[in-house]
Amino acid sequence: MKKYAAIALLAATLTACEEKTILIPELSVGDRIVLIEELTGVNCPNCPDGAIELSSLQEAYGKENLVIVSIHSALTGSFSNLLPPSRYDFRTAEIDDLVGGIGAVEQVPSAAINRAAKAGETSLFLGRTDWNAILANQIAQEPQIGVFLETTYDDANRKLSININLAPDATLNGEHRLSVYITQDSIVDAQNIEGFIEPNYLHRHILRDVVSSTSGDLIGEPLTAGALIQKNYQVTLPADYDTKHCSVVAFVHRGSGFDNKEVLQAVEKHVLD
Amino acid sequence: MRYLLLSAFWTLTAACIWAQSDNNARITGNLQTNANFFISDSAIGAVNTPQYDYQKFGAESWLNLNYSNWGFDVGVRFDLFNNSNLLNPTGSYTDEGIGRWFVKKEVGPLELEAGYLYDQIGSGIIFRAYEERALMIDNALYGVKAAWNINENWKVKGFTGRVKQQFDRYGAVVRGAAIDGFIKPDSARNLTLAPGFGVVARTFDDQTVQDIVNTIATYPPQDSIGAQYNTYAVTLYNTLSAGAFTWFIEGAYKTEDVMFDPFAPTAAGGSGRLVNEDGYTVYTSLSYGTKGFGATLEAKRTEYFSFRTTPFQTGVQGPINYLPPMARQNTFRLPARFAPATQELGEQGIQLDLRYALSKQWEFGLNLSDIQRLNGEELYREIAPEVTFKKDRKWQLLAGLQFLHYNMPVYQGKTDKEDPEDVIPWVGVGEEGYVDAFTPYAEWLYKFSPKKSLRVEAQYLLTDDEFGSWVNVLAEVGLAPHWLFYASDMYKIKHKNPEEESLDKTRFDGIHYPSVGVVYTLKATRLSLAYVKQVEGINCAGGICRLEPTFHGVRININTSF
Repeated sequence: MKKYAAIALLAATLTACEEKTILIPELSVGDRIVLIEELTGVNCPNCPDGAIELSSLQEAYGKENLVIVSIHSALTGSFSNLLPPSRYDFRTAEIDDLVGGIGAVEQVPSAAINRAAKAGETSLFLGRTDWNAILANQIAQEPQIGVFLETTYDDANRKLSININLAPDATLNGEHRLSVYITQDSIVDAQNIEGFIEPNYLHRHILRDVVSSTSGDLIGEPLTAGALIQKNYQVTLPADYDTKHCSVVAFVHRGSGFDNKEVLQAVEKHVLD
Repeated sequence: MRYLLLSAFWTLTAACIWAQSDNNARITGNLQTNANFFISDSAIGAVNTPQYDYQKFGAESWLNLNYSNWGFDVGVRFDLFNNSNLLNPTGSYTDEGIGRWFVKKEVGPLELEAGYLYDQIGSGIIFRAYEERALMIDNALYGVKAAWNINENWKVKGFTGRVKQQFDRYGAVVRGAAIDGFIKPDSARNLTLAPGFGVVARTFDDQTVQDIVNTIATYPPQDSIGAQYNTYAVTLYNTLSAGAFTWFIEGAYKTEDVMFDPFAPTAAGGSGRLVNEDGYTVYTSLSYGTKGFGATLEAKRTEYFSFRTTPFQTGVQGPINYLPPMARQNTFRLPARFAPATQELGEQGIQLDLRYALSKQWEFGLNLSDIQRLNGEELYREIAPEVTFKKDRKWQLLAGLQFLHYNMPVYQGKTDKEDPEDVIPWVGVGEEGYVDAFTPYAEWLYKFSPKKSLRVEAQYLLTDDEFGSWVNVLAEVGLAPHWLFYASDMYKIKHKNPEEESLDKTRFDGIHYPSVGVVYTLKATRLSLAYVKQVEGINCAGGICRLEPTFHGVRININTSF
């Protein structure tokens, strides 16, 4: 009898199983522009899937809300090794320094989403399964600072002038930094795609140069509500940069410490716009 | 909370000391400490991690204390991770505190337990809370458990709690129950049954559901899926013993569950997205054993049986269950180089293990393993014949061969080009994406005296895949009961035509990986000191695998129990 009672008890744990359907809402976005720093590599067979996912996310949230920067770094080990048909090497010591400063390379592809930390993780570069959740959380927040970007490019001498205005919406305490990148889109070069070498893969959002210091330039001015802080950078674009596909990415982020590097607001502007 | 737990730890320690004067009290414990001193070496890739770059030292330690008195069993474990690369092979993890505590009490037929619990249902297919330190698996259930002994043959138990995540817990609530029995139909016959039935339910926490919703919301309509808070898994199992035969079978079903499937195609043309599928696993094992002969045949088929605390946890993090592996655990270094991780989203496999002792001198063994995807794509095939010869207790020789076919993209996310003429003659054309390897291995143990012995092992891995061929030798001198000295070297054989190979394939060519060490044993205490140079690889236990990074440095291990 006790045996049957026990079985009945077990069966009872399965009762009341009528599931509440979880509703999937429409995406909503505000004024926050989120920066995604993707770690990728030309010899990383799964990286094209990561790139496709990022493109899908950009489509879902809108290009104006998502700034993607694809980073090739020697710190990813053999994933960054050039392939026999490779024409470009996107890796530089400066980029390695940047990556090392953001977080440990634990997997590729991975991405730092606004450099936000996830509980239980030891790096800001997170695997694909974590991207959506962090992104949704970040994009739902109101920006605490406005970042406005103007560029002037002189084709004759390839000089680029970058003017950045920072307009805090609230008083921001602590250490804040400004980082500025040059990216180049639509570079055709070799890529390992799930084990097959594609000589003419379209590489997107490639990080070519870090204009600021790799840890970001310290913003010395007080970031008080209503203030307007102006920053200017001058850079000469190397001859092998196709300016037609080059963009400037600028963003304000917190200072330092593993879980205190969060990007507050990002902006991207085409060099020729 | 952590201070409370630390107080509890010291209280228990004090109680243990006090209890030494109490005759009814029983104190047991053990300590395991690993200390690693890292020496960077760019030639073998021992660089670019915090340990090699600037930390230089890392350690893990577990001190376990158990105390029994007045019908109570209590235990507490202090865990320490300092600059540890166990959690993430290329990361650094530092934290310390109470890793486990529990209280257990029997009240008549009722058994009660609370705290961090280790337990499983059946073979673990729907629930297994266990610890595997080498892989940083510790998915104890932080909760309560009650079990009722209905009679001497039947027992029912129920539990609820949350799964441990380092020094925290995952949000999902896991609850379950099981009934296990033992039936001997006819006492005159040698036939017994040990049936069981179990059920486990998992409820996602709100944050996980929010993350799932946010993820699905970005999917185009073609990829969109439903989702639910609760998933249920049921299992039915039985062990039948009849004479020399033992037959275990378990069948489990899981209701719809949101999982990350890295192979699921996306509308955008990529692969990898969340899916919401129900799944099943069927596992069976048939053994036959008589004097001098033993045979075990295992088979398993799994479809969508990833059962985790959240769908965003991958690898060794966050599992609720455990799926039995379909390949043997190789102990020698080179035959263990390519190990198959259990594919929880879909695989079918079969394994046969035969042992035959022809005489006191000769023993033969054969292990066959074949694992495929559900669509028939080959994942892993291993054929390993083995022979042991024992000579008058003076020496013994074990020799074996391993024939391997291993799916590189699935198990390691890497690939390998086709080999039109594989270096292994009978392979012919080496299929793209697969490692074909042939590894002869031998172990020779010679006893100079009952206390003095020499053990030598050697393996040669022949392949033109991954990094190419390797050789490994080890010599170990044992001076029982205290001392053990060993030295080994693993060598990467150079490619014949390195200019025709990619840099990736030849990067370890000609490199020696020597290790020397000494082990001192005193009763239940084992101390070891070693200089180690170790190539990167895959470390597996029970079908659960993770990357084992390159190591170069000095290792100190302390193990003791009391």
